[in-house]
Amino acid sequence: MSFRPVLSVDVAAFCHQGRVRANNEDLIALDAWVQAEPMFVPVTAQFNLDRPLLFAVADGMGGHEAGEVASALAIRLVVQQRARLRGNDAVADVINEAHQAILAHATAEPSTAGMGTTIVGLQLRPDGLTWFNVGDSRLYRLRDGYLRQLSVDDVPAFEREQALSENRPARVLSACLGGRQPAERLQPHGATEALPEEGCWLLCSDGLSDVLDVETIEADLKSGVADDLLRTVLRLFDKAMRSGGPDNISIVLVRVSRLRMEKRS
Amino acid sequence: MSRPPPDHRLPRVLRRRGFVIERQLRDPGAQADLYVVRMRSGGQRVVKLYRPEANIDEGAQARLVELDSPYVVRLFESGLADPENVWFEVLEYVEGGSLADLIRREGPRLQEERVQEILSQIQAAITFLHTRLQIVHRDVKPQNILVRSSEPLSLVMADFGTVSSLRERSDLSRQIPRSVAYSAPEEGRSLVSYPADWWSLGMMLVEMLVGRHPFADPNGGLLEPLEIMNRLARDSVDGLVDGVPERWRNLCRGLLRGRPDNRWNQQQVTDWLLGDSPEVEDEPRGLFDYRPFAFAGQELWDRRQIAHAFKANWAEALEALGRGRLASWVRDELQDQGLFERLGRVDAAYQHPEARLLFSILELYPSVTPALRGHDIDEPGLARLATAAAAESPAGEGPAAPSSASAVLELIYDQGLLTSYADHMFNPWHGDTDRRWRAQMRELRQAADILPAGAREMIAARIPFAAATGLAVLCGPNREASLQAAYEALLPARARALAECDWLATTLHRIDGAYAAGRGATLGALIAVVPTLAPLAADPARRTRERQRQEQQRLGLRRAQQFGLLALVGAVVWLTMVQVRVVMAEAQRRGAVVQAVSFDSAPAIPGPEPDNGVFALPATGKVVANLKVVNPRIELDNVKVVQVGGAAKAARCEIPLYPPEGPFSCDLGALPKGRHRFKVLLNDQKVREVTLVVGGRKQ
Repeated sequence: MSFRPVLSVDVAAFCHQGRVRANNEDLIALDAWVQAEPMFVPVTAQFNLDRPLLFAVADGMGGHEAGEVASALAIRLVVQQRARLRGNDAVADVINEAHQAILAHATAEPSTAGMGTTIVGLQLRPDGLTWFNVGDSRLYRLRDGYLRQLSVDDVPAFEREQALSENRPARVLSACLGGRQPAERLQPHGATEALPEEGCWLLCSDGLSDVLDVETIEADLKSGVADDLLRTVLRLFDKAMRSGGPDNISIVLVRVSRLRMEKRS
Repeated sequence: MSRPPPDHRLPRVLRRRGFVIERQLRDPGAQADLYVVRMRSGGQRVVKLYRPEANIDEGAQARLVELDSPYVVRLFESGLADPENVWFEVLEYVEGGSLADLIRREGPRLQEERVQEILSQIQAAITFLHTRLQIVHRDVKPQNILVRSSEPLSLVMADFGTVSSLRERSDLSRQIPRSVAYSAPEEGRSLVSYPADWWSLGMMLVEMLVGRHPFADPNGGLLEPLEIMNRLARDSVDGLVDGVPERWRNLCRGLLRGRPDNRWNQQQVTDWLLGDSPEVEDEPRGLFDYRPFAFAGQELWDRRQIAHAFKANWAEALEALGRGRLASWVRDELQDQGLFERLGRVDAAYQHPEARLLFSILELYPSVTPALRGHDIDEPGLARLATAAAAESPAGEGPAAPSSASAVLELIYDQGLLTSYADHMFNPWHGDTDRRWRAQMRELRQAADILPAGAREMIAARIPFAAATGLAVLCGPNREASLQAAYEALLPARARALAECDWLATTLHRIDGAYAAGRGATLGALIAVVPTLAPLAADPARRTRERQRQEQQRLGLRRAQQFGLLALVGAVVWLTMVQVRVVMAEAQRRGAVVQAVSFDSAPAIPGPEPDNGVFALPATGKVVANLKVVNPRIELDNVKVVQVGGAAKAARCEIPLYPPEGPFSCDLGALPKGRHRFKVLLNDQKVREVTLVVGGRKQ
């Protein structure tokens, strides 16, 4: 017999339409809970990491509220199938099922033709973590005081080049679920890694990452994440709104910490 | 002419054959020394002795030996000289000097007819190397082309110190110092193949036709490598052929294409020589199709530049690495997937951010001298670092500055970086030094165990200093002499100490033991702590206090023991404080070492092996030993912890598939109060002995 740590997962999350957009095409999921109604205040949750936990953000796109349909289809399917998210191939299968579901819906409902969505997910398990993303919704990790983007933006090279030289966020995606020129099969980015006993991750849509640079987010997380996740989320949200809030804003802040040691059976 | 260098510079094997040094040739690079020697027969040869750090492709060398070619300087033999352990070559002596001398004599701008002659010679030579021998020269430049005869012109290629054989590998990453002014732009990216030599030919042609090297600076020298790189990156390569006569322009443009795939090779050069005009691929933009890595106010284009800039700007480098800027640049701009994955592995493998930075720098550019916070940690660097740390004021006046030698040494010790470095770079010296360093520190702690509490605390404060002194002795043998002096200086105090103070006498005996056994490092570490102890021993009032404190401790222990017995009899699980004293025995067995031992007992927080070797953690009576094994060069098929004497119970550890070195956890079960000795066995071989003293302090 030996001992193993029991890990606790604390989460604070908020999803808001921002100042400019009339509707909210973003959607967040905290394990089995999928946001169904507009949120007015952030939510917080606490989990024991004795089973896999999934956190996800999707940023839908397409006019006439079609973006909402796409993000909802994607998130719901991924949440339903979350038990299968083990290893890169399984993740790719689930993501592609969501991709096909969106395409099928768009064919059946011509008003939603061309709708698409990004997705970024983080699954924590007692024995490790898996992350994945398609599109430009992001996953960051805070470690040793530095914030690092783990997800890989699906932005075409020419757009990245252009955006860098014009010092603006990229506007064109090279991959998303659904979309006007859908890929036959999506290759989500992702990795499976060891789970540290202490750690902090941020999932967000471009409504946050386009208006706040990494140093700003890093400074807020560094100062606030250890004691008050909720306040940290609100502060980030507030900064995004003060920067104009041009897009929907989704923030999911996840913190893992050690609760106690217990006997391994 | 100056006096010839003494012959003892030649390896014995050559001296025996009667080789006598006539003179030293001007050093063509940093890799080797060249001597003109006379043989018994009267003939002349050139002997080339490589420096130890030179990187030699023995397969390619073997193909050059005894090759009688009109294009290649004759290499009569090459090999590793015994016992000097020096790689040597015996080469043809070419009297006519190098092409660089010829350019100096006839130039700087050469007649076009002359250039044409030179071109056909070099073209044939490069073609011969590539097609017949399948080697890339990698350092084609006027200094490395020798003139066998000047009328009619006959040129031979020389200096094969940097050649790379392409039979074994198509993608080469051997890092070799070479002349940046002639080397192809892909050199910095480590993707080097045949086209690299054609680029060098292009640079030489422009130099001879224009009378000036394209990268010449206004003072007649050459531009700095960084500036050369920036020019290539920024400007179209077409600018390199400015001033080249019209007839030659296409040839030079064809040879000076930034992308190896676009560059002309022997086919197009032959066609051009025959009067054809092969097509030149358009490359209107700067050479690099990627953005530079912006770092510390600089624009950096290749891995070597970044590695050096990281070393020089440690704090910014930690930030760039921590925020993932390096990894995303490698992935998105350099588009080097292999490097990206290796950086990812480093990121996952090391806990400490500075360890990650150290090994990321080594992934970027493996031949860079390893360094931490600006201090080199290669063999000589480590000796300097330890000596500097030992000279810094001993601990006690607050924490040392992060860049101080002692702080860096502490980081190296705590993170086990020497062993990590040894494993990462296959460098046994660092691993061996680390093992000896730790063994010496264990010996020091054992010595400290017998001291009274007050003295132990003072020693604890002194341990970093002792660690530095010990390491300095390990790395620099010349420290032994000063240690001996320090040892002898202790002698007068001895008689008094032996009479007055038991524990100081015991410490001095240990010092004697280390001295007698020739364990210089341990001696150094022990001597480093003595200045702290001597005043303590000399103060009678303090001695009395020490004695009282020891007496109190003994009483307290007895009371606690009685209480602990009661607790056991009542079969109540008490939280007890386990004091664990780890006695390190012979730690090394066929290369596998138990690096760390720690003990858990719920709800304990397992920690690293504490500096003073004493574990203290609350326990429910169940104790788990955690072991970390390093260098498991043997296949581990069992790891056990066996109690010595008493019940002789054995606890077997689970062997995880990955990582193979553990950590292993062995459940030792409930331990009654008292002393327990355990053996740690790897594959049934005892590698370490551990003593646990279970105390009775109630929480």
